[in-house]
Amino acid sequence: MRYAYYPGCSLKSSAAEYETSLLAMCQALDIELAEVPDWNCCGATPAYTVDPIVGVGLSARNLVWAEDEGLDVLMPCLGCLKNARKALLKLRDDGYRQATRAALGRELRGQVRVLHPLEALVVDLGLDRVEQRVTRPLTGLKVAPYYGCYLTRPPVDYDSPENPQSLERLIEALGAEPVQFSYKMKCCGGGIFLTQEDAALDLGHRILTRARAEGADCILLACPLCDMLLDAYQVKINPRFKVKHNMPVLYFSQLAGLAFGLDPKDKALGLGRRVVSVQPVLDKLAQEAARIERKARQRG
Amino acid sequence: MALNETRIVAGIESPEFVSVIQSIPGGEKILACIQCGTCSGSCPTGDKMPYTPRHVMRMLQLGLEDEVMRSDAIWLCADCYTCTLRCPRGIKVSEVMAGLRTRAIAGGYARPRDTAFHRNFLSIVKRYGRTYEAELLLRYNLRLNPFRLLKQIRLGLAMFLHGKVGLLPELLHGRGEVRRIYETADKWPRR
Repeated sequence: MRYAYYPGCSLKSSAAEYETSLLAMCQALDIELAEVPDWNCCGATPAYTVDPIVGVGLSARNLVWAEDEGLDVLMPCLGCLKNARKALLKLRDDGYRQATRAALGRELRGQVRVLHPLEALVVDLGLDRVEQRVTRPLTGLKVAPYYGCYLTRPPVDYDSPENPQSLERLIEALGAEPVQFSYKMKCCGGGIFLTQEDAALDLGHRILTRARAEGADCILLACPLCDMLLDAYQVKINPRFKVKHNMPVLYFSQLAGLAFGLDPKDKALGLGRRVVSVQPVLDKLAQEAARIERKARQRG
Repeated sequence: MALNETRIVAGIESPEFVSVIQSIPGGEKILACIQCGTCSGSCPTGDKMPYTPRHVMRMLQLGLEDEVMRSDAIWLCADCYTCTLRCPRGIKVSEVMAGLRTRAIAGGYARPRDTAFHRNFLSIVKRYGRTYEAELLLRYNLRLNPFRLLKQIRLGLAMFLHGKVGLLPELLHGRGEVRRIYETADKWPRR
């Protein structure tokens, strides 16, 4: 399987471990990624807000190469993916088509498929293939699946927008136990954490609190914006609400890498780059593995 | 106007504004809103807004352009799409909110604190082709309130120690192409 790969700005800076773990995960699954040459910023939230034509133009420029090559575009950042989907929709309007043609100096047919890596795993590859690749099942680990907003809204074909299950099934394929997490689709405020910090901190705090209440050892997510809020911003949430969340937060690709047998210290997994330490997760995995081994020895 | 104040509106204040809302893709059915409150109940920041989404929809039906455009409600919207997913009348509330934000900026209603981030972000992307977080955060905080920078130090340090802050901007070969997108948009005739 081969995809064009559009990382987006975050994956080259604050979410670099998402990129390295994603590349490692794809390599383990024989998924080939070809990075879009000279890609530009998708414009995040400001582009569409200030001028939709800029928003469409920025996303369109990133899709041109993949369309020429006949490749689907893997977009790990849900902000960028949402913008790309929006652009493709708006390009059905003649006005936007003309403006984009003038801006780029060429036509974008708009027939390219854009998708999140999770969709690639669930729909294109199949989770049974993921399960087959697991060499170190994450037995005993209770994982809260966090979808956030843009994995399932606006609705996608492959999962329910009101009670999605694809992350739960991925977690199970990796050998871990998904936790019933009623806030799994509640917005974290990732889109407004710079402009409306108080609101975003409150949302993050509620999600972290809920995950803990449901008995989760860690939260699994799929977007660098959500990650900023739920991982790094614990530094701000804790003093604001006078708590100590200490909730490990991981990208799905990092957990997958662990389950595929990668060393926790492997730089590609990037566990050391987590602001909140994931040592409790590693400890629990080690404990569970030891327990299973003891039982096996008792029997044998 | 707080939630517990009442303003009696005798009829539609501005029919032209209602037409503007109806011209936003997703806002065509604004007059079909039955005020069920599902959007407000779903909204993650609704409890912080001076007007909840439901309230805003009602104000739009009545053409209360000024109040809506000046409110914080549209800037507290997190663009999460839950309201749009659930609206039983098929109103794309998220698209309407986004349309209101765009018009608030274009119409000069938005305050600097609502647009400082956007303008900074866009000018950086225009220059480099990609985001440059360090400059963005520096400019944004200096523009709004330099003392905010001090508050960010703890988080900034945590991120820096974890290698999450890029010190230098990435420069695109196709920077000129990105600039051309902006320039085309600037000159494009609008409805």
